[in-house]
Amino acid sequence: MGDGDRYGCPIATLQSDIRMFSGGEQPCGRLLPWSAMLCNRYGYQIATLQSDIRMFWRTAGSRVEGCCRDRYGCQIATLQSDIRMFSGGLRAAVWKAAAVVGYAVQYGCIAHCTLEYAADFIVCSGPSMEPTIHTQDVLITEKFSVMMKTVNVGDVVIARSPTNPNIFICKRVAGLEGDKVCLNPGSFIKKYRWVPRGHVWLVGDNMGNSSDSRVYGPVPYALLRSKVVFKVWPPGDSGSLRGPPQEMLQVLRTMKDTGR
Amino acid sequence: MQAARRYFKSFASGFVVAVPVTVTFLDYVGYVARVEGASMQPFLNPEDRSFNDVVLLNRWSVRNFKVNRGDVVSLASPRDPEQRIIKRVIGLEGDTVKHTFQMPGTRTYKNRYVRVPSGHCWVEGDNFGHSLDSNFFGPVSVGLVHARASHILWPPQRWQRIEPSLPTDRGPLDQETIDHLEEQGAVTIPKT
Repeated sequence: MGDGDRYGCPIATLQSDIRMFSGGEQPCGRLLPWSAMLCNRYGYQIATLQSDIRMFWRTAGSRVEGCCRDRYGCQIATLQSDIRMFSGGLRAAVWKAAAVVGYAVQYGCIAHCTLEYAADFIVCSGPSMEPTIHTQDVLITEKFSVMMKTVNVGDVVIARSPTNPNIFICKRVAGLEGDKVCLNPGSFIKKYRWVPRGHVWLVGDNMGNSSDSRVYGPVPYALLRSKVVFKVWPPGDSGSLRGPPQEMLQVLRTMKDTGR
Repeated sequence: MQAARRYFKSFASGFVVAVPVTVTFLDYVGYVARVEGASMQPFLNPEDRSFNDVVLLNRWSVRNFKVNRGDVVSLASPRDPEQRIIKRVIGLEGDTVKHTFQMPGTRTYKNRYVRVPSGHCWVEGDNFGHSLDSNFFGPVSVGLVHARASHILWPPQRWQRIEPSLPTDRGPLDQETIDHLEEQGAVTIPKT
């Protein structure tokens, strides 16, 4: 009948179970850890439950629905699956393995979502952001600024490299869309360029040794991945990142205006 | 009251499991999207239909950013990072493509032939003249490619697997032609 499908055993069993359990419950003694957990949930020794369920699988009776749930706090099917899992044997081993895999998938997905949409650890390599960031420095980055489009000029960001999508670059934002940037701040005759719509201009702090927007042009905003907020390694140099170096202040006029 | 509390508890625990798993699935495996616009006509959203095509977007196949010529891909627009556009890949890095001038005020290269820089690709909509694509904004970085359209799922009459195919008149040029053009200085190599 319908109820049998729901509980995984004939509904008649439920009434018999209740009748059986109403008298002579055994207190929880010293049990194995798994059994103790089950005992705390249902108030009975695991052995009692096992033998009772086995004994009453064949009994006939009438509907009692809610009684079983009130008594154990859950459906009889949960009870049975718990028993399957906590008792020994190959079937239990398979159940336990499935449970472990299930938890691994679940926590793996939570980890993915956190690293993808909240915050991330990054290990840098390369000289293009010295002295702010050196090789083997570990940074904490957050994704919210990029997602909410609150990235400002002067922020250090991680982006996908426009010339190789499989690697990431760490640079400072020197200009947003619509800004005018200077391509060669040190020279006498300066060249300027507008940052097009939907793009940003990235420059590495180590301006003499950095391949950045001065080489490959403005970077599409959608390639930005996260904004660096904190350096956690090496401990001697950790904390918030420094501001942009002096020469970079000339890359963008508004950087000077905001006093960064 | 007890039942309500238990219901909300199981709902919350289900929610905590379901949301990250679903989001991870959408990020790694793929999702379904409706195609808007006419830039890929007649292949997608053909004119004789009143409703839009629904395509299956495969994220797994672009996890390493390996796209092929002729693939229909969904990418973030270089002009508007929040907008996703769906186009066909015509050329990959290193290819030389013919730049078809379509609209006034497009990004004008000195020459009609463009060498696609490394890490970039050339995308075009099938609907010549009605598509905002590489002919307008130049080669796009492959890092912008989000997914590959693998199937048309709806309407049922149009259910099909999307095979990579280049239109007959579009595609990268062969080496002989390229050498000839390079001799004449007719190929633009964008600064990258």
